[in-house]
This record gives sequence, structure tokens and C-alpha cells, in this order.
Amino acid sequence: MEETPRSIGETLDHGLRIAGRVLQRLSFAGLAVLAFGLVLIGKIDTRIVDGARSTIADVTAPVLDGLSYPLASAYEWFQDISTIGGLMAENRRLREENARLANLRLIAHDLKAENAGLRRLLRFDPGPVAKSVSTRIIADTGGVFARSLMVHVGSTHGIRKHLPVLAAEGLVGRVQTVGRQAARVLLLTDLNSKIPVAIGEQRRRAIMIGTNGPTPRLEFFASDTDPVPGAIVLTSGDGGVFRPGLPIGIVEPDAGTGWRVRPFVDWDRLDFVRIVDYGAPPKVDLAQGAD
Amino acid sequence: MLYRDPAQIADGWLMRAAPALWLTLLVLIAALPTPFDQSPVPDLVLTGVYAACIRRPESVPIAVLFALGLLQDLLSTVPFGLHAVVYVLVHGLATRLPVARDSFLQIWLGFVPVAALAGAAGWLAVCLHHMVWIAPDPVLARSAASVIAFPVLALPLLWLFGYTRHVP
Repeated sequence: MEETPRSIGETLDHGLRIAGRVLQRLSFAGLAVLAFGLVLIGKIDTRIVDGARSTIADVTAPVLDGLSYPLASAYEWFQDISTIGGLMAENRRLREENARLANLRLIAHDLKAENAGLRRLLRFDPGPVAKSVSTRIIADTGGVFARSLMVHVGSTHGIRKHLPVLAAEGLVGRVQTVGRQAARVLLLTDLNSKIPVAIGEQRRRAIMIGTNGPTPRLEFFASDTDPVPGAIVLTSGDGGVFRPGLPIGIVEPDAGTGWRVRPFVDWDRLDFVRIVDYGAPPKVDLAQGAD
Repeated sequence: MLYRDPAQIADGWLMRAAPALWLTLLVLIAALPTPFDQSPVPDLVLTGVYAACIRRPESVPIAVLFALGLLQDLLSTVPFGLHAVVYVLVHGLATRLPVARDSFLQIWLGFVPVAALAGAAGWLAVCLHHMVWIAPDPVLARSAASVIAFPVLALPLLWLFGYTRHVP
């Protein structure tokens, strides 16, 4: 078949179109390889990425803070509306809880007096008083691939890397990166979280490892006996990152072979957290690859 | 020579940049805390990226989506480059899908392989980054939630991207 001859302009246009298509394909392949390479080499040196993350956190924190206020109010309003129907039951439950707490208050009062007496007897020095900053969560920066939060306090508020982050129920996680005005909190459920813990009254040592799921798993037990389901899990203080005795959750058997921890914190209702500075800076970072 | 009004030029630039700006806003909105921590939440940004690739492919070149992914990675604590991988692959697939751009049903059906690819690529990248096996259930649940919620999330976005189309 005879081909129709092209003018110079048409040939040039045709050539440019082909070049454009090749360039687009190359940019697709190049950017895909570059992005995948970033994921793989991202573990080698995290200082640059951490620095960039702190900067982005500082820049976006005011916007996220502003956007999260109306959203939080809407959720609160929705919760108020949805609980109106159950007010009678809620009232009955609160009365029962109040009676139980009144009993516990008496016990706590006795224990407090006994503790004070024992401290006087031993001339116990409780050490420096802990300083804490309470703050609202402005962003859930995790997702299915990571578990983290952003708060609108930073180095100007005295926040340092590795400080423990608590809710009313117990440990939430620790500060991972700090900007001037914002900080990112690595949750104890994150894949990078590895926390030395003490289990039950015997204070059996183990390591709690995050899985990105709601229940971190327990590994590396210091003794061979199995933990008791329902035993309370606390931070052991080993490694010096966390103070000993911070409540985390309770032990529950895994459907497979191991043991898991059901955290005390209700993640669905986590609006505010408290970042606590116990004074001494953390000595060792046991959370591999998290810093 | 034909001179154009500066306001007209600025308007043209704004219209061209509109999808990228909307996607940046979606990245911020997606980071807001929700009370549904244990439930699979649809991927708002992925839906937006797909809608933009379908409605305004000329305004979301692959480099813009790469940058958007890096921004989302810096805003979160996922391995750096993860969302960039996902959005580059989504762009590659979405712009090649044989989907009639005016049929919402076809656009919705086209999102099924896109959500599957995005979930699989993200999951694989995280497994390789941490060198551990991660249960894929939450990723599958999220992809499924994204497909189910697609009409609710995508319709306003498709309209928005169509509305801000640049008319020269």
C-alpha cells in the first residue's frame, strides 16, 4: 500500500507526539521505581524525613486544628443525641458505679494514709514532680499502615522526643517527632512500637509489640510459665524509655498460639491526651526503626 | 499580538490547579481524627485521585500525584514514599482504563481494580519496608469500604472537578 507523504510540519508534530508519549511512559516508570525505592531505603536514614515531617506538622497544625474543631463538635452533638434514648439506663449504671467508687474511695484513703506512714518511716524520696501538658488530638495521621496521632504542642511547650503519652485509662504511646508547635505520637499499637512490660502481680517481663491492629502481641517472655488471662500489663521501665508502672491493658489469649494485650484506652473516644515529663531523659530507645 | 486580561490568565491557572488544590485539601481532611478507629474507613484521597484522573487527567499529571503522595507520607508516619507509589500506579491504571467518562456505573466499576491495586501495592510496600508479614484483612476491608462508599464520596468530587474545568 502506498503511504501518503507527510509535510515537514506533520512529521514534526507526529515526532513530538511520540516523544511526549515516550516521556510520559518513562516518567511513569521512573517515578514508580523512585517511589518504591524511597519506601525501601526509607529505613536507612530517617533524620531527613523526620525533619521534614516536623516541618510539615508545624505548617499544617493550625489548619488541622481549625478543621478538627467543628468536626469534634459535630461528633459530640451526635453522641449527645444518640444517648438521649438511654438516659434512664445510663443513670442507673452511674448510680451503681458511684456506690462502687465510694467504697473504693474509702479503701484508697486508708492506703494513702498507710503509704504516707511507710514513706515517712523509710524516709522515701519520691524524686522530681512530673510535669505534664494536656492537649487535644488534631489529626489521626495513621491509617491501616501506621498508628499515630498529631497534637498541637511542640518543643516550645517543653515537649521532647520519647516522652510518654497518656489518656485517663492508661498509656497511649510516646512522642515520635517534635516540631516547634506540633508533635507526632506513635501509638502503642503501631508496628514500630516495642515496649518492655511487666505482667500481673509477679511482674513477669515481656516485650509488647504493635501489630497495627487493636491488640499488640506479647513476645520474649522472661520465664516459661504462661501469663494469666486478664492479668494487668504495666510498663516495666526496662530500657529507660517509659517510667515503670504505667498501665497499658490486660492480657488475653490469641486465637492462634500467643498472647495479646487489650489496651485500656478506648481509641474511638480518644479526644485528649496528656504528655508527661518525669524529668530524666530516656536512656535507650527500644523501638527499633521508630526514631 | 493578542493580549489576554491578567485576571483571565490567573483564572485559567487557578482552574488548571484546582484539582491539585482540592486533592491537597482532601489529604488534610483525611487526616482529621474520627471516632471510627476500629472500623474500616473509606479512602477519601484515593477516591479523589481516581475521580481527578477520570475527570481532569490533564490537570493531574503523574508528577503532581507523586508530590501529593509524598506530602501525605510526610503528614503521616507511614513509610516515606508509600502513597507516592500508590498514586503513581493509580494514575497509570486509571488513565488507561476503557471507561466511558460520562457513565457513572462504568466509572464506579473501574474503581474496583483501582482500589484493589492501591490496597495491594500499599500492603506489599509496607511488608517489604518492615520485612514482616502483615495481616491483609484491614487493607482488604478498607478497599471494600472505599468501593461501597464510592457513589457518596465520588459524585461530589466528579462534579467539583468537572465544574472547575478550564475553558480556554
